Amino acid sequence: MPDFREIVEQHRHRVYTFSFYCLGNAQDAEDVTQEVLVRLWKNWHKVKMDSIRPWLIRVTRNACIDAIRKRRSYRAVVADEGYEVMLTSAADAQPDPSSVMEISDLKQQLREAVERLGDPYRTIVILREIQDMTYAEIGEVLGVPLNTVKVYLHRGRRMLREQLRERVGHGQI
Amino acid sequence: MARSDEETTCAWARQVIEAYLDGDLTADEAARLESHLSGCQACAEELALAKRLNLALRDLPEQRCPDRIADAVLDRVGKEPRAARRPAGWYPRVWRPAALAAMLLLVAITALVIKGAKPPPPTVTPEEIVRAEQQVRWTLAYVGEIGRRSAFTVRDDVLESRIVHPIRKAFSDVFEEEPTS
Repeated sequence: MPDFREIVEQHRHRVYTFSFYCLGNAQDAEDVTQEVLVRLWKNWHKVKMDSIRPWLIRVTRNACIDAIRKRRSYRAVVADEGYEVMLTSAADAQPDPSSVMEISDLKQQLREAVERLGDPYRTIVILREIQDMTYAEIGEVLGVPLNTVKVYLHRGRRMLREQLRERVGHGQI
Repeated sequence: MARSDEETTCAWARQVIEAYLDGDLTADEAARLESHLSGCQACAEELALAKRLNLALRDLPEQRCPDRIADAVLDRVGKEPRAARRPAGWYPRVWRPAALAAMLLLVAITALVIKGAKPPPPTVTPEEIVRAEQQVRWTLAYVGEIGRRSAFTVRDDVLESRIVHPIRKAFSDVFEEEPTS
């Protein structure tokens, strides 16, 4: 039976990758990965060896959703405390759509578009397209039928297409 | 094709492009889409865009979790008491008497429920049966004596149907579940 160290070694990149594409930056992904692996240790006696992978994905997804919520509520709190000007300045510092259109790095834009997808579209797109999981595996993780996974995946990809068409334009991809 | 029909078909085509790329459309749907794409430049471009995006999406790299994250996790859990992996069906020793008691209680309750569903037959001792038979005999003898004293006889078939049978039936009702006719 593999010990905890081996399990960490086997699964840490998968947990980190999911968190990275979900949250859009390395720092948050590192925090979530660490939190998820420590939680695995705390539940080590409960999690069956053959269900560690779906367990990890479920817990990682929930941790990412929590992180996104905290991020949103933090922004709301900051705005309530009268920092709207700072936020406006930060928003102004973002590149405008026309300069975005000049960015040639499709992967970067795609990454940002994935991050902007709502759940469960984001989760399903990451698991299927980036982490190469089967429909059945995704269905097991999320507790939904296989056909539902397909419908959400197609809808998620269509949303990505719509986002990127607006930002980049047909001819530039 | 009328403009509104064309718009409807374009909207449908854009809805199903992803399913088409994954091979999830029926043969009829796929043929209908291909026929539309051959005559609609905008939807054909949409299909090309979807293909390019899907390729790019699959090309997004798996990210490498930095070693320091794994080290930090192992360091942190190393300071906590080890949570041993337990085999399936394992319960703490202190729970075993409680589990046994609960099981016995369950068996007792089940037995009571089963017993309560069908009332037990009345318990009759052999002495009671003998006493009842004697009472029947005395009754029949008394009836015969009355007949002799009143100077008329009662035919056996009348005696059987009017006296013996009702008494036997009453006797069966009291002491047996199903009366014998």
